[in-house]
Amino acid sequence: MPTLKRLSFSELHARCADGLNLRLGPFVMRLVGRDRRLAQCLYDYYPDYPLAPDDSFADGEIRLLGQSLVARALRRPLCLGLEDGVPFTECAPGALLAHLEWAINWCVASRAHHYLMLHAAVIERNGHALLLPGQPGAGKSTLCAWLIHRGWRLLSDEFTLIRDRELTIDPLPRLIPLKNESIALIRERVPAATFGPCIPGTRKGTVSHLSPPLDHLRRMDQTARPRWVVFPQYDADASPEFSALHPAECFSQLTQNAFNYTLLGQEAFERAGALTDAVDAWRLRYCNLQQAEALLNALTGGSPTC
Amino acid sequence: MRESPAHEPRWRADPAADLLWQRWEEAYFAFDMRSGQTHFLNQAAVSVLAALAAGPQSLDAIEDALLRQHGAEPDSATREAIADTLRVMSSLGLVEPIPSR
Repeated sequence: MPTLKRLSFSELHARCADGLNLRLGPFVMRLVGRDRRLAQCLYDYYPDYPLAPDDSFADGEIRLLGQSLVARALRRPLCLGLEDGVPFTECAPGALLAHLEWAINWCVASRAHHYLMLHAAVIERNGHALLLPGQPGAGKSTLCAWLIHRGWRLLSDEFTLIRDRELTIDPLPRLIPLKNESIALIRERVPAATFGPCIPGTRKGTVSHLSPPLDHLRRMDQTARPRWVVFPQYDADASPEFSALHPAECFSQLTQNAFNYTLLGQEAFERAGALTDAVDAWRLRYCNLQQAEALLNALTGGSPTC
Repeated sequence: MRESPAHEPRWRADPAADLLWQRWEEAYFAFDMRSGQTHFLNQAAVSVLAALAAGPQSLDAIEDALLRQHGAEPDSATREAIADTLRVMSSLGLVEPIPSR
């Protein structure tokens, strides 16, 4: 399947005006806008994502609404809308990437109810998936960003998509939004990593998006099965610690963590129960990435990857 | 078995309840198909539901059943715990009092 970078900028700009279908894991997002800034954002930060055919069903449509010359001259915010034409979010031009990603998140979280969707990062090695659920601030994105450069494959930083009762997990490898101190930390530890711009002043502080490794994008159709669930908690003052989680607590945490548990009802109850039975569950408290990696390697039987 | 006072309500498992279960050791989760709610129940709550499986029971009868099951002697704390459990499960729609005889 061709990727976005096969298009020249002018071709991409023309396609965006009519609507460009981008494939993100199992989903197709239709991105529409004549404004060159949308095409530029895609050109800069999504070059290795596959294009879906023009006639594909789109799971969501995100439009960069047109601006008049006066609005441009007055530096009015950009406005993203969904297919119903209702404005969804406004942003400064420099924050377009962050808002586009959030709009995609909203489309997935509010529509993909054929999945049990957990708010959890998920990475894979040897076909076995490690789920990292966490409340904001727990450090799951930072840990995930580190581990995908240490021998694990990114399935998703935000959504664990459980397709069926066999617990098939569909990858959704997206840009990883690192926040505040985590940006410099990963830049320093992973010099080869590719980042988007630093976007200050968001609800979560300064955000910068880390691009997934190319190989992880190429493997976005390779599913995995859950083997471990680890609830991470970053604590700068703590000594590292792993503690086993009772299955009942694991089940309870997973159901509270799901985006659509209540909506799916019985199906979610059964999938979450099957997931609990299928995994070893742990809490991980850590104060630096190398410690966390070492503990996770000990748990998962892996070896450090340089 | 003690005779229940005539004014003491009897309890029954809600006949319309439609529950799915998950269990890990003595931790139980019941998914209520009617409400869509998931309830965490401990062993005591499940024992109470089991005691009501055969039909409506008074608090005395439920207490007797649980004491026999565990080979324990009556005490006020146990009785109060069972009464609390019934109240909580009633608020969840899992059991309900039925009119006095």
